[in-house]
This record gives sequence, structure tokens and C-alpha cells, in this order.
Amino acid sequence: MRMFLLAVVVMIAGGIGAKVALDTIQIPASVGFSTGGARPEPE
Amino acid sequence: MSSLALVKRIVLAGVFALSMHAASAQTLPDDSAGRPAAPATGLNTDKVEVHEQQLLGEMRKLQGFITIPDTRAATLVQPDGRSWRDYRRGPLLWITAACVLGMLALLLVFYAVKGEIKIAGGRGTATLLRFGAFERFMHWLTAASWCILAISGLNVVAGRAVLLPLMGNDAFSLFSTWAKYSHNFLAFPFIAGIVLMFLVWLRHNIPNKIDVEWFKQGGGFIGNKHPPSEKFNGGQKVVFWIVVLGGGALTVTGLALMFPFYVTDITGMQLAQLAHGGVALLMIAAMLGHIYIGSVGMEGAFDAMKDGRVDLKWAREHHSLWAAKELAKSGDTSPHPAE
Amino acid sequence: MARMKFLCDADRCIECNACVTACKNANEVPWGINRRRVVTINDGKPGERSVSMACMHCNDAPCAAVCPVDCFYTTADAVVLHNKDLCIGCGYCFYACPFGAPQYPKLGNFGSRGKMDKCTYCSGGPEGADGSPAEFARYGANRMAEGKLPLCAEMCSTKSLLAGDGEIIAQIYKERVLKRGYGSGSWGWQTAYQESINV
Repeated sequence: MRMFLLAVVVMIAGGIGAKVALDTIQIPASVGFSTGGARPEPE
Repeated sequence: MSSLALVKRIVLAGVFALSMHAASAQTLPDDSAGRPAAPATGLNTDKVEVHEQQLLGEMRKLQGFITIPDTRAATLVQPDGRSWRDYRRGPLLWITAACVLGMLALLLVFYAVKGEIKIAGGRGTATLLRFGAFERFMHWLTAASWCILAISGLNVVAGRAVLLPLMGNDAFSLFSTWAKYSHNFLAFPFIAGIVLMFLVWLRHNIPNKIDVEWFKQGGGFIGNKHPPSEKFNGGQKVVFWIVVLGGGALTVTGLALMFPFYVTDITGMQLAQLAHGGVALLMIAAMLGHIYIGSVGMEGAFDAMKDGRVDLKWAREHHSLWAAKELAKSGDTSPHPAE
Repeated sequence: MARMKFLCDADRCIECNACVTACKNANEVPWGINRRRVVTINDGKPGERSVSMACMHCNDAPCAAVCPVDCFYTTADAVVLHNKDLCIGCGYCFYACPFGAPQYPKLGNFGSRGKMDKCTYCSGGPEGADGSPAEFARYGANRMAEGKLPLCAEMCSTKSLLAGDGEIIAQIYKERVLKRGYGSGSWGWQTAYQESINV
């Protein structure tokens, strides 16, 4: 069952990695559920 | 609008037109012709009635122009939200019960009737490597993340009905928050596992004539025959394609849900959610069967994913063509080695 | 008690967006959150109408029905409110809402939508005492507790947007339609309350 344990570790690492990556890549304000949260840059 | 109400409205409008001086009325192309002009009061300079229900009949949802940057807000009314609500509140719960409880009941009945499928004459001593370390790793990567995704997904559908009364509002909300986070982020290891399994196992899962014969003989589940099979038998190939196609569909719809309104509008979001839930439930039913046969349902089957080595007798019974090939590769060609 | 409703007289709305501004000011909502908005249908064409829309506080509210954590509740005034302590920000209420009322304060992906925010009919929320600073910070004004109607409707310059007991505002609207001779109907009512005002 060593591969099972390795898979679980990789899964958790992958999940955390995905969270960090998605938090780092800022999604443009026009996208997603809201334009909100931050004051938009004046054009 | 009922025809009676329409007549009433026209008569009323007529009465008012007679009592006041008429102004030239501009009518919409599809407005009822000859409607008497209304008095020039208020801010409605064209003096026509614009009816929501009529527009909704033409377009299903009403969209217009909006001055704020959030373009989703330009959808004024989308009554389909109510249909989506009705589906979630009724049919979805029944489908969930059928796929989860129904499948569990079915497996229980099957186990009661058939019991564990034994290796004829018991386990031997010789073993054969069935799955290498990487194959086991990708299987368990997919399986472990799938279990958490399935549980957290079922929580969104049925948790309110099942867990909320047991846990209370606060505890259930906390649990659901963590379930949601794990659902979102463990989706990525799951996708990776699906892609790996597709790439590594595809060549073993092309359907062929042997599978047809395997299905004709009932896969060995009905009666005690063991139809010949390669590395994966017909049933396993079906599981493979359910996982790959189902997992692919879950990936596409799941990413659409995770990045809302990135690629689609409100209708698309609703459809994505319907598809995601429907495919997931069918997959849960299929995987319960897969878990059953890989654990308590068949003696020796779990070994393949435990440490990769299976009993040679088991291999000969269930995957005779594959076992013969493997033995030939290793130079042992004797059809009946002493055990 | 009264059954509170909103009614936007589309023939009177001039798209001044003052209701939107009033709502933002009364409730101090964050950037990007619009509890109320004005949508213009047939913009620039014959039959152009503007409608001010927020949460309609539906009968058998779809948002409440689909919420996975059951965070919605209905007040004695039939106002649909929700508890932000329980909300997990899943976004399902937005899919179910016929009027696009739910708002989410954060940028980005599924995992970080933040707690849902929507029109409270200026009724605050479940937090602490009515009109407390904690309630104001999370849910906005509680004008109803002071015996006042929502600010959007109260300050509407053309009295297009009406708020109050559904039967009373329906009566006001009927009288208007009879007097001026036309009426584009009570937008959203059929969907929200399964009834419309027949004049």
C-alpha cells in the first residue's frame, strides 16, 4: 500500500499547490462572480 | 395575458381615449394595431406598453443595457432559475438516492446471493506482477481524490437533508466550507489522475472481439465460467471508459463552475451544474460497483492494487490471455506449472 | 403582517440610477457589489424601458430552496434574508435567482467568492441588536426596524420604484394606470410572486 500513501501525499500537495497557484494568478476583474473587492483602475 | 384581460384592457384604454384628447401613438411592430392613444402624461413619451411576459415569451430571459461594469447584471429576469430550483429540490434528490442507496442495496443483494467470488481451489503461492508502481500510484491518486470529491459533492446535494439535522447549522456550515474547499482544490489531482490513467491504460482498453465473447458469457458473474480475457476484461474496459469519459465531462463542467461566467452565461452555468451533478451521480453508482468487485466481491482482486502482485491462479482464471502472455515474456511457457 | 414587495413602474423609470446610489450609500456596500441596479430593455429603440431591480423577496424563494447550508430565512414582513455566518459562498443562489440579486464580494475562482451579499429590504440581518454597528457592517442599514421603507424607493425621484405592503403598492399602481391610460405591468411579479397586477 506504499503507492496508496504516496498518492495521498501527492494529492494533498497537489490540492495545496492548486490553491496557491489560483490565488497567485489574479483573475481579471471583468471575470468571475463579481467585479468587486477592489477599486478598479481608472481608464 | 388571458384574452378576457386583453379585451378588458382594450376597452378600458378606449374609454380613456374618448374622454381625453388623443395624441399620436407610436406602436411597437408587434403591438396590437389600432390601440387608442393614451394621454400625454408621465414620462412614457411613446405611450406604448412594454410587457415583461411578452418579452419573456420571446426570449426566455430578459437582457438589457446596464451602466455598471458587471455585465452579468444586465440579465434582468431569468425565470429558468425557478426550474433549476425545482430540479434541485425534487428530482435531483431522488436520482441521488437511486444512484447511491439503490446501488448499495443492489450490491448487498448480489453479495448475499453470490458471495465472494473465490479462486478455485484457494490461493496458490506463485504470483504475477499485474500493476507496476506507477500504475498503482495513478490509480490511487485518482481514487483517493475521487472519494473526497464524491463525498463533498454529495454533501452539496443532500447534506442539507441528511447531515444538517444531525450536525446543527454552525457545525454543518463549517464542514461544508471545508468540503467546498477540498472539492475545488482536490479536483486538480483528480484531473491529473484521469489524464495519466487515460495515457497509460488506453492501449489496453480498445474494445475487441474478445470483449464481445466475454460479455456473451456474462463475464463469469453469471454461472461459474471464466471467459478468456486480456489485461483488462470487457467489464474493466467499460469501467475505464466510464472513468475517462465521465471524468472528462466532470472536468469540463467542473472548471466552468469553478471559474463562473468565464466562458458562459447564467443559462450555461445552470446547465453545467446539471451535467456535473448528473454525470457525477452515474459515476458514483458505477464506482461503487468497481469498489465492490475490487474488494469484498472477489478473492484476490485487491492484491493487484495493494502491492501489484496477483495470485497466478487468479490471473489464469480472470485474465487467461494476459497471464499466458506475461508468463511467455518471463520465459515460463509451461501451461500448467506445478504449484 | 404586511407582505413587503418592490414594484418598479417601468413607464416612470428614467434610468437616473439614484436608487442604485442610495442603496450603496445607505448600506455602505463594498466596491463591485450592486444590491440594486437599473437595466434598460430595448435601449435606444421604440419601447425602451428601464427597470430598477434588486432582490424581489420571492414567495418560496429559489435561493433559499437551493442553498446547500440552508442559510436563508424569511422575516415576518416576508423579506428574504440570509445569515453570512452560515453562507459558504458556493454561488448556487445566483444560479437559482431569477433576478440576479446575489452578489459576491471577492475576485476569482470558485473557492474564494466570499460570503454572498444581497438586498435586505433595508432590514439588516440576524447579527446582534437591530441597527447595531455589527449588523450595519455585515448587512447594511436596518431602516425597517426604524419604521422606514428601503431608501431606494423612498427617494425615487419619479416615484417609479415603490416599496411597501404588496397590496397597497399594487393599489397605487392600479390607480396610476387607470389615470394615465397605460401601464407596462409589474415587472418581475409573475416570476417572484406568481401574480401580476391586473388593471
